[in-house]
Amino acid sequence: MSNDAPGRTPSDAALVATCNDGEPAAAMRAFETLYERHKPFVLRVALNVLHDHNLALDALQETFASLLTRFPPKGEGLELRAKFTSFLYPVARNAAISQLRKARQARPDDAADPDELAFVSPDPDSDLERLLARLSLERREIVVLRFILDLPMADIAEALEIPVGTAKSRLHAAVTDLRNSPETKRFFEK
Amino acid sequence: MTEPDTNDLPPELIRALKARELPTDVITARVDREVAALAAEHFAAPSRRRQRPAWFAAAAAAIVAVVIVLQLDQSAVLTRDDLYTDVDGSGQIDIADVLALARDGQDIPAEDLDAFAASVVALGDRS
Repeated sequence: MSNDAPGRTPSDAALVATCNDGEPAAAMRAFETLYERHKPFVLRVALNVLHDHNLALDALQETFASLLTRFPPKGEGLELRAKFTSFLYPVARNAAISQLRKARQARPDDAADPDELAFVSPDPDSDLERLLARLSLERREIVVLRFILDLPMADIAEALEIPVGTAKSRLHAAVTDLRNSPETKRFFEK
Repeated sequence: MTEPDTNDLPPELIRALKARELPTDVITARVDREVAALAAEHFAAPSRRRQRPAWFAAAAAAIVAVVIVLQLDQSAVLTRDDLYTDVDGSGQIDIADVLALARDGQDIPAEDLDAFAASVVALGDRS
């Protein structure tokens, strides 16, 4: 699976292969490397949904605990057909939404629709934050994936488990929202 | 001439979006420890190796069967031509080769076997 030469940083694919088939000590080292390498990505995804460090940490743990179950002996092994981040994104996003639901259940006065709840702005007074808070979760996450995490469209489609055409039309709708919004209109007029 | 990408944002807006991204310098020591413990427990579990598919056992059994048949075949074709040779592949011609020919040889006259045995014993006496 991997053509990594000795001494080189192993690719994600090589690390996943070791987690699937390696000896226990090597598999554990490979998993820890994957964790260290992708921890910031998962935290960014979680924080973009949650905006709460403690909940984001719980989502981080849940993401990698879930990933672990894909590897033997509990799992069948992970078959990586796209970039590792594309595989990781839906796992991290679902873990974040799950944490959000748990937090909301602990506060029953709040609504339970994640599309309404999945954004707690760190700076609710800024124009940009107000705008992002108004976007649906679908549109907000495609803005985050495309413009903050810099993922190409094919990877975004893989991450969201939708066809590339659907991802493009969703992005188009989000960009149109931003273009027409009073808060961000000025950026397009320059 | 290319049309402007209607799915793109002005660079200044992208910079503003990135600037509002929350810092990720969260202290993760607790989660680091817990994930490491989960991984250690997971990978140390018994039957870590993936189960071989069913066809693997069938293929292995077939190979063993073929080897046995070939060995039987080999033993079945021992003839006079095998006299004075290293029949069992031990690296030396000795009494074991005589016994193998006596057991598995076909159409080898007894006097030829006796002569082979005598030569082996004679060789043994000289050494």
